[in-house]
Amino acid sequence: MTTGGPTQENFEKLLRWLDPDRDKAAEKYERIRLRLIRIFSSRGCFEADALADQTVNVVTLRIDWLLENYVGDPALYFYGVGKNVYKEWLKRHPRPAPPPPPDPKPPEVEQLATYLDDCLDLLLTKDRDLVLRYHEFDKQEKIRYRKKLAEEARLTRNALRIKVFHIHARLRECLEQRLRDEPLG
Amino acid sequence: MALSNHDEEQVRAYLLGRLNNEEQQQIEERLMTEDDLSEELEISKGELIEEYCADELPQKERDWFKEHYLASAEGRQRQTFALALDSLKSSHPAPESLTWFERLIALLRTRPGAVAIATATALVLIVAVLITRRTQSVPTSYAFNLNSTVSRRTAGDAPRYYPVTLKPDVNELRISLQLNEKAARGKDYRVELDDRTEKTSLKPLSHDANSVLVVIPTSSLHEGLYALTLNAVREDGTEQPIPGEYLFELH
Repeated sequence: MTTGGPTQENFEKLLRWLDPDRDKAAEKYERIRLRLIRIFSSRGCFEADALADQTVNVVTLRIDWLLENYVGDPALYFYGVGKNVYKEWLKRHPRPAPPPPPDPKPPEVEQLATYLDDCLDLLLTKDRDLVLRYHEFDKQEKIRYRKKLAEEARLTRNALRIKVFHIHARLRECLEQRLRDEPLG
Repeated sequence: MALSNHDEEQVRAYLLGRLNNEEQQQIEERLMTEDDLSEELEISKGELIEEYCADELPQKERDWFKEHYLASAEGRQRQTFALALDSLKSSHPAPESLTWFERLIALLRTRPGAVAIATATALVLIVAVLITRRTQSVPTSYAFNLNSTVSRRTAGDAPRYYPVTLKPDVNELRISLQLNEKAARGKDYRVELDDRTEKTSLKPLSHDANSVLVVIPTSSLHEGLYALTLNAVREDGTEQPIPGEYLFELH
């Protein structure tokens, strides 16, 4: 078993393993790490970032062996290692997990809504209107209304979902930036 | 690779803990390598959070989702985002696009008690429309609510102009100006329309305890920024300006 963390040299080799072009390799690295975080989060891991980093470290430490022996998509190797890292983590945090934190407090949500309000202002008018209209109504009425919205925009239902998702992503990014500038008091 | 409805269902099932170990591994391997499926995961997370917040998930799935994805840092962050977005609904009336009939149906579905009133109102409206149509063409309206800049949550912010995009067949705006709690009430109101070059005085069509309805012919408007101000008319006929403006932008 290897001890200690991966060296810079190992990490450079890892990037070259992902892609000979350094920029593309960096993109692939970030994508793999992000997807690991998403999978760990989906499984309910409250330390998803740390587990993703741990997974990357394990893979980086094995890079010489991988360069010699591994055939296949590197992302799948990361996934295999990630599963084991997660199992180890589960042993340290057996279910039932600690109770999830309570729902966000109304004052926090209110303050976030204020920030979000500002972020909405930064969107194009048509995007702001779309996202506000998309969230009108609940249950069956919501489904029917979204179908109508898709027809209006001449999009398929799925294309509309993707479009709104991308607007959401921009809003979340804006919100995160705002929170970095002005953390909740 | 294009996704199928089955993929969408699988991702949803994955997030709700309904897959067996083998299915879970298969979907996770695909999530590592397929961009479209990874995007679908993110979209489904957002939709499930929305359903969770609206209490639309069955209890078992709700519990699973809360104890798993929502227990993660990412899940908490996205839940908070969804709640914040939801709380903006009331302060941002979405632009109208449903017909009045569709909105009536929506109202009746949520408030069955309103059926009798709505039926009576509908009958009166139908008769009124029939009579009116005999004598004149019916104006096509674009209706929306506006809140005063004073009511706006984020005091000190740059003013936001409510966007109004008109279709060619719309010939009047019906704007309901919402009165905030502290605004002076009058026996009547006078509205001023300011296009930032000149002011025009308007008489509201009607008012109640919480709002003033003003109708503006679109023929008198042009593209640009507008501000409406309100004056409460007292019993003695004197006027008291109501602080704040009601802003919209015509496209």
